[in-house]
Amino acid sequence: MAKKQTVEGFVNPFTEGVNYKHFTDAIPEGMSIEEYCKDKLTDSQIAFLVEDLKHYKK
Amino acid sequence: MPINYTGTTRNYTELEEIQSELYQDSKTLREAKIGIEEGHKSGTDVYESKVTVAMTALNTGEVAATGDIDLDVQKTPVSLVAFNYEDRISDNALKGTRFEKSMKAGAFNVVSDEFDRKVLIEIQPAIGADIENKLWNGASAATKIAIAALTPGAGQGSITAAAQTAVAAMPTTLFDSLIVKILYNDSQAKTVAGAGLGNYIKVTGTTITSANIAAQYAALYGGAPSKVTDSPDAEFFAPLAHRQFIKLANNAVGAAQQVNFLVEGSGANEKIYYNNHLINFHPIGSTFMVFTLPKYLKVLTDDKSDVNTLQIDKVANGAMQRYIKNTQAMNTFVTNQRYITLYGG
Repeated sequence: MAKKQTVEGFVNPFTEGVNYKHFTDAIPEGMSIEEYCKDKLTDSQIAFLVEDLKHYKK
Repeated sequence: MPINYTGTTRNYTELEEIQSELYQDSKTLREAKIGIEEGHKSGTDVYESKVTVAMTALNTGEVAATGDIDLDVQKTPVSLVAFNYEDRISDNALKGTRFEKSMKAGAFNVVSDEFDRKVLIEIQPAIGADIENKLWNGASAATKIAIAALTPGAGQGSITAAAQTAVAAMPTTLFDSLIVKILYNDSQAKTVAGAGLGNYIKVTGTTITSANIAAQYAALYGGAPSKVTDSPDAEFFAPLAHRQFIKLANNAVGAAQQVNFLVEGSGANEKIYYNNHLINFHPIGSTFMVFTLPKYLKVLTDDKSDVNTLQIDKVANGAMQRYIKNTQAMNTFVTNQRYITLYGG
């Protein structure tokens, strides 16, 4: 089943108990991390996520 | 009459000083700034206590069991890891070198006093440097597997993916370094007792350069609990390269200059502070920094002078060889983990 194209119920990856699996699963297909987090997280938080998720292996 | 010589030629002079290796200073054990706990042979019980109290309205009757004073004591057994550095040397290989001059007369005597004084003596600083590296950078094979199995995340209570990658790339060692022990340990005093992610406070990190180092120390300092920042005993533990970055940042010319770090003294007496907290430089991987009270970082050992002890003797049964052996027992541990702030964790 294709993922949703719109953001519903933003999953904040900086919330305790939220891991990268929860976060990446919540990003709609075709949407970048920057787009998903825009206006929800600070620029430095988004920059950290982009960098850190380069190391993330599902 | 011409000289008629067909043999090989050789040099007749040599530099008196043997150009030796530069070894990493093993200052963790030498300075004993963190908790160096000696006198343990195979294992150590580490006790941690925490008392919480609750104020209630005056009770003029007899005291009942209220549960308002919680005396919490936890014990964690820590096994020491025994290891050694050992080898055999064949001094006979030194024949034909400058060292032959200091061998006693007699074909069986092949031990060179000069070799022992100038080369063999370097074994101890080499071991010291190796121990210093392993205390701060390295993980056991089992811990590497355990950390790789964690699901990473950005929030508190999760390891970052960058930290996972950094641990995987660390040297595989016989005991976990202090940084890895902060990340993953089996303390019974954690919120979730037993093997698992440490109870450290996480500050997310980035690649540190001289351009951003002040901002990253500010992030680490700002992420620490006020009980730690208010303690004059709290100190930073940082990678060796930060000393260079700090000086480059402090000494930038023109408008870029911002003196955020206090540098006192010079040479061996140099001390560098951030917000009046001392920075200790150790061979920590570039991903990490720590801000805490040094006594919460423990090195458990039989005897810290073991690092400087060498057994050297002749091999038995007429062998023209000597053995060299250094034996130690050691492990790392962390206590009061809720007051350890780990940058990059």
